[in-house]
Amino acid sequence: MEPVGLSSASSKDSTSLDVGSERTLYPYVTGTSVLGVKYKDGIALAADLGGSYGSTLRYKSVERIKAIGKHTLLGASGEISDFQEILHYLDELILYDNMWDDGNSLGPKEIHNYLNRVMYNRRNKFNPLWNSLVIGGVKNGQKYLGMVGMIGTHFEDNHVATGFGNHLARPIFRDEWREDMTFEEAVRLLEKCLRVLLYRDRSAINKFQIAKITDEGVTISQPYSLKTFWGFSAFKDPSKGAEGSW
Amino acid sequence: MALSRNWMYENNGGTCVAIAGADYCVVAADTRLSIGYSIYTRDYSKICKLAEKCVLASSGFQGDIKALQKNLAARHLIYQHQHNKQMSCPAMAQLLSNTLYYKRFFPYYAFNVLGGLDNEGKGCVFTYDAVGSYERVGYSAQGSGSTLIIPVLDNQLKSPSPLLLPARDPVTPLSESDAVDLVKDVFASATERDIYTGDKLEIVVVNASGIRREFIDLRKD
Repeated sequence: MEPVGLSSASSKDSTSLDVGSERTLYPYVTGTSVLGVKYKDGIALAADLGGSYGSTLRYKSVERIKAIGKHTLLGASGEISDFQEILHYLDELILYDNMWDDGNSLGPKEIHNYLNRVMYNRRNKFNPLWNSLVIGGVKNGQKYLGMVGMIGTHFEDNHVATGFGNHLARPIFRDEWREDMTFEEAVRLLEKCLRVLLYRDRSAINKFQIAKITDEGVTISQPYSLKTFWGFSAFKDPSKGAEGSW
Repeated sequence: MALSRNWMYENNGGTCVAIAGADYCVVAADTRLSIGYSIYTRDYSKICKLAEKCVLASSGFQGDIKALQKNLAARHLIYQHQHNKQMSCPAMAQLLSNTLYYKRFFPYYAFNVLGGLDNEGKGCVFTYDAVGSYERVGYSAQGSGSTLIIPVLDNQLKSPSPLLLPARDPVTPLSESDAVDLVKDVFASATERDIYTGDKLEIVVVNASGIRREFIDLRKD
């Protein structure tokens, strides 16, 4: 069932021929996987600091995990400029929430629902925010970790990942995640997956941040890198089996 | 990563089944949420209670399903405010059809099965396509495993043929526990061969005493 709406959906640019379409057609500067796990005291998120421009690693200090309000962490993969626009929407949301000054504050469930609605509605207008978002947080002792995709697919689980992380990290999580992990164990698990992604995802870089959120508050680590091993004998003499060929 | 014409839809898989009996209705769906060859989560409910005696199970694109279920739940709330009563299952069935057809030219990618009790307390099942064409039947399955399940239900439910004249009551003569057992069996079979069906089975039974829910484990591979 092919939807016909592509040309007639928006009233702004459907009638005029010289105004170019202002919709996102494809992403330009992108971030790769974000990982998230629940652990005993809260949630831990991890992501690298890379912003790729197609196959070029253009930016190497892009912080893709941000704190939202008091109770939530948001990590994003996909188009970086769309992530910045989401942060702008959320700034306004948190501002209005604070202005009520009623002692209540938006928790991770509310932020997840809000972002879900935003993503789905942008998809309905054929102008998506080209991101996969990881939302994690703790409010009143209740931990929450969820994901929202570009077209509004969303779910909640004990461990989530976006992009390549779904293929490489989720299986490791399914095998090794425990309900009562300490923060150190959670970091070890995240680093194990980040290392696999570093080896196998070409848009990953060796510069990461791990963010943690508990009832006490948010901590986002300074960027750091992981040790890698490239000393395999096959790498030492790559053309050993191909003498005489190019 | 350029725009292809179908970027706005994806199929998150899953199977839904409903069986109507003389005084009960069984609505069941698996709890796996998939994307391509990956599993997002093993624990996602596709079943939504819309009214006191009316339960909706949907499979397809999860973004649209959630929006559709929210839409219907909101309309039901308004109905309750305006009429001071719950919507009957046949009324909800018509509302769902109209809601789906409203988006005829940008459809909800949702394949629905609505189950519950009608105004006389008899089980009823309504089955839909993505744009709202619907029919009251004795039983139905929708979703990725539907083609594996419907033939088994045709064979096992002993429901009267829809081709008979005069028309017979389409509900199955089976008892409630037999129907639930049959649902468990068909899902176990569908899980074997359909990659999108598995993990857990959620069964909701609607009868005169209310709504009861149970979970059964399915194969996780």
